[in-house]
Amino acid sequence: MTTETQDEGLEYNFAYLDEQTKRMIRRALLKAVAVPGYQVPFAGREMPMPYGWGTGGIQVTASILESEDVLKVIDQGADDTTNAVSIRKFFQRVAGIATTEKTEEATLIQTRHRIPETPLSEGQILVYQVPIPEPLRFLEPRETETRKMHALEEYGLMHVKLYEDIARHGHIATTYAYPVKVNDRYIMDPSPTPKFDNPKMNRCAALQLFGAGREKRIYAVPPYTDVVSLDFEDHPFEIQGWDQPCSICGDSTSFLDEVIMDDQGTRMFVCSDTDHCASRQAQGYQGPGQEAAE
Amino acid sequence: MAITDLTPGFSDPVRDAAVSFRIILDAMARPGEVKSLPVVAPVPAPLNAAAVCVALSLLDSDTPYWLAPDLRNDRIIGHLSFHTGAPFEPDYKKAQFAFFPVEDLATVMQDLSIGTDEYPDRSATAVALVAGFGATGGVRLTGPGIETANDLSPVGVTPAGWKALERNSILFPLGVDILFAGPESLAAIPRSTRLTELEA
Repeated sequence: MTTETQDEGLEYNFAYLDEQTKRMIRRALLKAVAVPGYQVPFAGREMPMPYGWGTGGIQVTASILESEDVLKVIDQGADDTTNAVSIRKFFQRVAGIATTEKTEEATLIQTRHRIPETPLSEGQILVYQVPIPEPLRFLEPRETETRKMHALEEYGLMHVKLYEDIARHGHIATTYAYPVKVNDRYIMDPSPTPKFDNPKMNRCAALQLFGAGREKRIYAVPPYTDVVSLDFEDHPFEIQGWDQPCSICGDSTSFLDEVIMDDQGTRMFVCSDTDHCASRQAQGYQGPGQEAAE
Repeated sequence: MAITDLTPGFSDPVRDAAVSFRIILDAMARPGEVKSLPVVAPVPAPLNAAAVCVALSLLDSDTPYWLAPDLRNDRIIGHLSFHTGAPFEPDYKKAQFAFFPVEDLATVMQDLSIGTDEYPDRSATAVALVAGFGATGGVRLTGPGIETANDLSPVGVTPAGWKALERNSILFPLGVDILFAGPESLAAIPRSTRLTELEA
């Protein structure tokens, strides 16, 4: 855990946002929790980073943050990639809070497109950065129409899309942003997480909050809420699998990234969750890559 | 009313609003769990500590609020106006937040805004003031935020009040979200929660 004090003479309001903005976002969050999976419009602010860098997630985090929180930020499962590092530094600077890379130590986890492999607990909140919150957007570009479809629970089009996948490829080819139904009512975009993570959303003990900055929408999944990935009886939902374990820690149950090693086609598969991989290594687990190197 | 009559608000507004909101969010995300207030701001009678906490952390000039006649006086309206800037709304059908004694639940719930099919978030939040939370009776709650079932027994809810809450949950995704505000703690029943009455 590290803390960093603010630069002298340059004071931001706690967590950057002004208090009225926080109240507006807080009220939207309460509605989002009360209507699981429904996208609540909010007056998204410009943040000191471009859209696409997690401005929605950052506004949600800034509005719920308190000084005792311990923040973890991940980008595709990794704590040490650009987006994660810059957001972590941002909150150290504007809120002076403690940060961590350990999933168990965090009270608040902001994520870009992965859910940690370590199961989350009741005391934790997971904040997702969402680029396009509307799951029906690529099927129906008009906001007035998608809003009506949600109101009428008219989701046939989404099943047609999945069916067309089967007709064309023989299986449902959607591998990320795989649509889910929340609390048996709203169809929700789980943000572009791999479908591998969808089962972790179902009846998760932690509160899950989603923020889309450019599209100005907030939505939520309360703890222990049913989150069902859409499928068909004869084509049930399946998650990705790999025919080899992580090269570094040897785990065969985590989500693996393919890494190209040279221009001869050599590749290795490693855990996308860096904290999960590092803690397994610390426990003495070794993957085939490590054994070969010895 | 002279400025010297004003009761102070949060002693550390930024921090106190943040910790209060986290409790309210936690209560809303876990219906039926009674959450202790992390901070207590001075309470102008006849409001109570949790109601003041909710008002100071969530109200501002964008949120017309309504007070039941039993809670309404110049001192309270002046207090909320000074600390939050929120306009008092005499017609509770138009209010975004409604504060009332829990005994009035059945009548108030009839006419609070429940949102629209396309914008279910444009609904009111009810803040029902209770004397506390009992150990028996009340309702069994199930639904989002609840692992198996939670029992909640706010003191003073009438049988008609419970019926009003059952009707409210049938309206989902429309409906009103209810915060039960006590002198030391608060609990919530959002519209997504299903209720079964328990024998007292």
